[in-house]
Amino acid sequence: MTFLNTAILAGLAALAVPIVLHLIQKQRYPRRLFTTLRFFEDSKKHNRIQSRLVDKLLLLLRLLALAALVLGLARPFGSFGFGEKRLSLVIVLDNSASMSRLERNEFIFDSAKKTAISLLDELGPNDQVALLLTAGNIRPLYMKEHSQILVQIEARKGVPTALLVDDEESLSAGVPGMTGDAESLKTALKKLKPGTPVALAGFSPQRHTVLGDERAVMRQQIEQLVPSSLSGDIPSALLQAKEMLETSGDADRRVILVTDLQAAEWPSTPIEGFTGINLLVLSTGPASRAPNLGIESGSLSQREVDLGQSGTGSVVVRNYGRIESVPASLKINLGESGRPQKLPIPALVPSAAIQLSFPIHGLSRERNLLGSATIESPDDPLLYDNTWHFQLGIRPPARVLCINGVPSETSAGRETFFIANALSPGSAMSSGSAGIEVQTKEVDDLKGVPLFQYSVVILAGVEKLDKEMVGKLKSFVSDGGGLLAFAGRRASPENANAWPFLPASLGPEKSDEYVFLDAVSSESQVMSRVSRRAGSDLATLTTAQWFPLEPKTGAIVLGRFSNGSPAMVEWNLGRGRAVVVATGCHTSTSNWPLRPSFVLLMRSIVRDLSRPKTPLSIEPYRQIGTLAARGIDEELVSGTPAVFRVSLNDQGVQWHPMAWYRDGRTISMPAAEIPGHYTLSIQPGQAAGILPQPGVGSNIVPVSVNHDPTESDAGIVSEENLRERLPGVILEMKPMQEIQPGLIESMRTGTDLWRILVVVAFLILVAESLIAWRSQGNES
Amino acid sequence: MQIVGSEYLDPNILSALPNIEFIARRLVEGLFVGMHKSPHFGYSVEFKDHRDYVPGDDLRIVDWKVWARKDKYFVKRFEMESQLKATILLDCSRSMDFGEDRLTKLQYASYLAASLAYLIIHQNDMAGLVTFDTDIHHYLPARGSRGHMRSILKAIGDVQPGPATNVPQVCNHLAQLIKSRGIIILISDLLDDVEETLHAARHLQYKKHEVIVFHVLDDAELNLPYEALANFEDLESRQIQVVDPLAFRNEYQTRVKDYCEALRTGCQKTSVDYHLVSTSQPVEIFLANYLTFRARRSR
Repeated sequence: MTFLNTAILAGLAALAVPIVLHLIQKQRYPRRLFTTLRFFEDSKKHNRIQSRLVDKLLLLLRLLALAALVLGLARPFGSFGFGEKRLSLVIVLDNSASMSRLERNEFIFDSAKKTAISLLDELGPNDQVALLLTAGNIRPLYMKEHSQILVQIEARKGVPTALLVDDEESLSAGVPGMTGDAESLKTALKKLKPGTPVALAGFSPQRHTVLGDERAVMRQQIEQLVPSSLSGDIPSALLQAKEMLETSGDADRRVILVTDLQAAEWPSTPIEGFTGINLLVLSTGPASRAPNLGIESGSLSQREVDLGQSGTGSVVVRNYGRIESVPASLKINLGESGRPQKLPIPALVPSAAIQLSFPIHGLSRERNLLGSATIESPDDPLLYDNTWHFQLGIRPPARVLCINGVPSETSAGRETFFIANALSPGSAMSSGSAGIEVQTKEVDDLKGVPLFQYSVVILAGVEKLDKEMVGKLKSFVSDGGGLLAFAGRRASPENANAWPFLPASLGPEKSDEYVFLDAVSSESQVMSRVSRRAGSDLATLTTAQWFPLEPKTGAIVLGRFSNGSPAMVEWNLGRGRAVVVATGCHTSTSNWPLRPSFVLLMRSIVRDLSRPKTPLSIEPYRQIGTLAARGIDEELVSGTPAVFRVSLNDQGVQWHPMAWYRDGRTISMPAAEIPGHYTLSIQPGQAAGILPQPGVGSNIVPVSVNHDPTESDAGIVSEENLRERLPGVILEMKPMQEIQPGLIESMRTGTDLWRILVVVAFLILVAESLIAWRSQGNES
Repeated sequence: MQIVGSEYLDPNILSALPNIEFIARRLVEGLFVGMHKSPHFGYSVEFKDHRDYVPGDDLRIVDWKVWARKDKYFVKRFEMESQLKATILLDCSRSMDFGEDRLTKLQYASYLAASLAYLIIHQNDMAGLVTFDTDIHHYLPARGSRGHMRSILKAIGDVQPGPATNVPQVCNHLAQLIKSRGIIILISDLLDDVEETLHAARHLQYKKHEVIVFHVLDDAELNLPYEALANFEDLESRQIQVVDPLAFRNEYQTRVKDYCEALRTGCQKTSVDYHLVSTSQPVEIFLANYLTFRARRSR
């Protein structure tokens, strides 16, 4: 049993008053002087019962009256059918994507919201209510009382949670970003002024809503609700509702589920654990007979194309409606300024599907080409499933850093002269037709060069590197970079063998044997392709000054010299790769730079090295509601992560910062609730505040989030099926349109015990007065 | 000048008394010849019997008429009339200071004592007074002068209720103190141990005294006429007890009756003249009745 006004229970201390009065009153009998008490021995037992008990009776009555009064005013209520006439109600509002269906010119979710608000309006002042949504896993918890938030923070210990406060307030309080550290959140909260509006947001799939009486806030929340793009999880919401109601002490506890009864959201087998739930299902009614075209799935032939190349996209369009659709079209939008393409969609009978393919040209100044395919169909009741978002990666020219290990007065004397010209004919840092940008630096000028800006680093005849540079190069390769090392004129096996990123160790230099490139590995796609294109010209790559290579464990030999010694060795290091060539890339050590096949070979290898062999763990195309995460390169560990939702409109690309959570070297974005384009980026260096968009040099991973096709199916579950799937539930079903005012009142069955207690107290006092009056009469 | 204690010698009381003199039921010894028989034989006007003459007898008491007839010497014996010596024991313990709406027991006893003293002295006998509670406060040996009457009245007037009572102790003490035989009139509420009280009375009787007990009780003590629950406070011990008189009355009356009966029976066994006196009865009525009763019995 609990009390509505617990503080009034302190009034029970007043029970001491009648006791004290009784003790004082006990002296009230008239004193009568008498000669002796010798004849009064054992006289007490002869006293009349009422005389003996009247005082005790009066005391008892007074105590009872006072106790009844205090208990009554404290408003007791319990779960055994007595107490306040109170109702604990959990409104479970189905906000899944299917609720965005248009019926009779009104979205069914709007009808559901009105119903929920009307239920709220009917609640009594003492009723408790909570609102649960069936879809969406980031739930802001608006609370006025900081104490309640503290409780929530404590409950979410270890669960990524963000404290949302007004910017100025958060700056002064040093509010941390999303974190699982409850202590730092609590510290920040305590620094806030009392009464500052605060909300919590988190990743936890568990919802943290509590029963309360914040009707106005709840009403406001409901009014602002829009259907989620996610699929609903009604069983979880009902389970949570049950748990919440179990914490209530009210006699009447009900769950009202406002839903479209979409069959896809209910498991096909009975769900256990709901025994005892008193559930009223208010249904929006079955879908009207109309066609409903939706994109079931989509795909791209390639995730990434080189700048200027083309790929192919395709979508499967299905008619989810109950009648044949009319002819429609599929509109393809590409990039900011691309002219939309339109593909015709023929009339489809119910449940029929068609696959439509369309070309995508890799022409964009951006790293990612944002695209969408949208069904344009008149009178489509569910627009949710009409668009499919995709991103095509546009591979930019490979950026190559050539490190010259042999300084020279003339450019031709440098070790990098021929390789740079082979990759990108012309001046330094230029992009030739090969799509490779080359920049040359002396080995002594490497300090401070941001390696992450390059995709491939070439070490040309470098004799030695300082320790820091060795470490940086190792991290560069591990994080996905490519490295090509030539054992040039000044190569020192002693130094080179200490470099951990080289795939082979160098033996003593050979200069007495003339060798040529005799065989290439068929396992390597690059070498096979080069071999196919260059043919016998590869054998013209000769040298008389070379280093025997001893491949390290896991390394593969890309090509061998005519004497069988490895000419090129490659291995994977982390997410990147490194290739070592047994000879130099200058004419002073070999004739390789003079041969046409050298250009083909180098360009192929560099291009291949510029593409990480190990893909990121992230899938660029995700279904809505799934989490996305990416690793952070070691070089960018100290960088600034950010997650954006990217949209295209007339003003171009718009970046919408989103909440994110970092755990060590992984950055995660919450499961998106809006289909569209997203980007997880790491900007080099520490940036203050919230990034408005990815900064210069940011490492970007695109993510496209699309709708859940199961939400397109408008089939509903029948009452019989629902009863089978919810065994033990006290189930009542009603069409939403049929509910009448007084529904909530009819759910309250409790008795107002406090009224009874107050009346009892009054009656006891009357009885006490009568007894006291009669007693006094007797005495007088 | 008003004599202290003279208020207890109420003319109304005295005038209401019958013209019957207070006659000692038993023999008393007195220094002066009075109207009472003395256990001593002597010269008196009232012949009793003859006895054989023994040498040494006064020849004046030889009955010569009998010698003439019988030729034997007989001497005449006469009953000596002596003065009555009455000692009044007045209990002035605090329990005696109790009376509901009329005289307190002490006042009543004082009237009784003063009246008796007056009566005794007035008939040329001797009266004494002892006031006591746990101990003796005043002891006026029995005398027969008018001045002595004033002393008795002063002693009665000076009486202040004492803390408690101890009748046996006082009686035992007086048994030693009063040498000559006489009447001991005990006026008390006798709220003491019954056996010890009777034992003390017997002690006095052993000393050849005639013992008269006036057991003075208030009507409230006899009947417990109260209705309402009250804290009854013992006048002597100051103890308090809540009593519901209405419920307890019958039991109380039985207990008091038993108590009085025990005293009466005990007194009867030892020929102690026991009289229960209710203060509701006017003193003069009681005294008149008593004297009538006593005169009738002495005949």
